[in-house]
Amino acid sequence: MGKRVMPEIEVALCDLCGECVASCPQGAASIATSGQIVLDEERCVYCGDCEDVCPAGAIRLPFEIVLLTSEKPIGA
Amino acid sequence: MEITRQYLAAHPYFRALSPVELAKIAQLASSRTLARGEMLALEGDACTSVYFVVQGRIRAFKISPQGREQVVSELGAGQAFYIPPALDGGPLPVTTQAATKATLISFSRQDFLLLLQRHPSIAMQVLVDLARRLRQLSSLVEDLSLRSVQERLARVLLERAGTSEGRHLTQREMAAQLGTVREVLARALSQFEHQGWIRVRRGLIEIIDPQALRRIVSEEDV
Repeated sequence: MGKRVMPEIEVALCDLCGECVASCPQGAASIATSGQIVLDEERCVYCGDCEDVCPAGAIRLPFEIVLLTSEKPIGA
Repeated sequence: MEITRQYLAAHPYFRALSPVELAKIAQLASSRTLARGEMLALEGDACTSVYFVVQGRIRAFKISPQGREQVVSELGAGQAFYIPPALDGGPLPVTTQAATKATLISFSRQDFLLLLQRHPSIAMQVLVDLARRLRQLSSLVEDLSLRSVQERLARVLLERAGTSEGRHLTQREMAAQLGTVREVLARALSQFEHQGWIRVRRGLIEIIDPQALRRIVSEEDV
């Protein structure tokens, strides 16, 4: 089993405003002593609230789209 | 004031101006910070100001006859809004509210119109921006008249499935591609999942029944 998919935080954009920490319904986000946002893998449910509230657009929750069958997608 | 001047100096509308002109224009601007959820202006009101988003996001929405909010768009850093009502004197077409904590710069309608008259470079950039928006809207109207969000979503999912493009899409990015907003996309994904056509997991959208999605796409092509 691979590492749990987590929201991506672009450190260069993050100004540590703390909106994500305040908005996370699971309490998964916090500001570490190192001065960066850290996300608790066990608590994060990938809901997207942090991405919604970040004023700097520093948080992304990307999705990969896959076919579960052997059929080819359009254009393939 | 310095932050305002720096923002204006980098903005496409004002980039061609000299530092002296920018300093004068910055004095006309007001800066304001909105808390998340704070209302800015109401649909139907008279246009008193033109706004520029410095940081954060602003939701623009309309109220349907049934009293429901319909989000029209989200505006981010660098974008300006309420320019059409400033130009034609008509009422505000949408209500605006801070989707996140947001910082805005604004000019009164009178000052903005004077800027356009006195600085042809600003007027030209505004025209270019409006022309671009008009082209996008025309294309979207054409697409909307032919396809619903569900049909467009089905097409995007089928086209992107299994592609090796480096950057996976966020739901916001998907919504923007479909000409809608995240809330509407989330409802469409939920509908597809309820039908058993897809499964949405953490960071993954699995297409279970591509034939069903193709039927949606091909029905619209008839």
